[in-house]
Amino acid sequence: MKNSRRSGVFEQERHLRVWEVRAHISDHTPLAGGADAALARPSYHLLQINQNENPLWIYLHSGGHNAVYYGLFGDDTGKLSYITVKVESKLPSTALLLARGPINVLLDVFTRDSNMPLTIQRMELMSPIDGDILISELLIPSRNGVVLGPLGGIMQAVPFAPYDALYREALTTASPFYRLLCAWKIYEGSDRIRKWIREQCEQRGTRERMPPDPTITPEELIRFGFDGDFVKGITCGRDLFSRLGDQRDAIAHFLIEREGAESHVYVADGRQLHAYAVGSASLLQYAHRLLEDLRLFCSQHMLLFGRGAMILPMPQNRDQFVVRARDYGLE
Amino acid sequence: MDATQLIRPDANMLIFPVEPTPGAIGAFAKFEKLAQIRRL
Repeated sequence: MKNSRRSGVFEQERHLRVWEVRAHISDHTPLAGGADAALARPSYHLLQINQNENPLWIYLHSGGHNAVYYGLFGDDTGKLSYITVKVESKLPSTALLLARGPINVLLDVFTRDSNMPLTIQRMELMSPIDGDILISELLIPSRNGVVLGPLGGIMQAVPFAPYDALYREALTTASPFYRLLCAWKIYEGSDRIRKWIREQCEQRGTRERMPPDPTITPEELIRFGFDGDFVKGITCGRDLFSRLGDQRDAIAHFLIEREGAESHVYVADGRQLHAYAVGSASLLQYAHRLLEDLRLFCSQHMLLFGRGAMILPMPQNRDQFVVRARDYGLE
Repeated sequence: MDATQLIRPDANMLIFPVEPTPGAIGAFAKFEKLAQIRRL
């Protein structure tokens, strides 16, 4: 599943080094704001380090000669602040990429044994020269914000509601694997909303052409982080979704068969996470663009949202507009 | 109706990927570390 060109973008010279990588642990990942605010966001979890053994050095053994040592560093109260692991590599980007796997495996074991919801909030590559943080790696948070008011209300555009729900699911998850599945469902479902719009156009005698599949250039895909070879020949949304079909199949099922061999996505692996992060972020953006184009088409040409007789809910009558159980067949 | 401008510019700069797409995994570094990153 190598589709990103992440390795080698930071660095020029290549000497084999042992890098220290830190993983900050929490029960959540920041999703909104600037990078500085996301990096400063306090973590929360219930994993404590014995005050008499802080830092705590432990190993995780996978048999034979295969073991990894970890440093667990707690704060003044003993709450785990971060976990360190050492990685030998030439490239700093490779060290960050490979550290994520062993940290995830340790968290998997903690979660298995103690049912703690633990995730990596951010990773830090430490400088071998001055010991400072060299590179921080985290989910890119959204900088979008709005100030609401004054405002009467919002038209929901009901036929698009299932897509809106999927888009929010995708944007609020910390998992690129789940994000990819949500993006795929949105795009797959676009055929259905196109069919519905076509029927509405026929009923109204509208002859306007629906927006086409979003066009894509190789340059914009490379800016997402895709490898130059991977993006060759991709010119529209359908091409990209088709090219990433194996990624979708591999995360939708435990095992997939390709060319007589079985393959599996190990979600703890940092390389898989990065490949899915690039894939899912791009798919979601194009799926959302497509839906926005179709929504705009409906607003401009069909007057579908809010047509005909419609109540205007005024603030002084707001008590009339409540959720009623009977509308859902419930007591 | 835009609160995006309430967020101050970040001291940590996005060094990968080029596009700051929410949901992608980004590598960030302070400006003063960029020369060291290139050397390493």
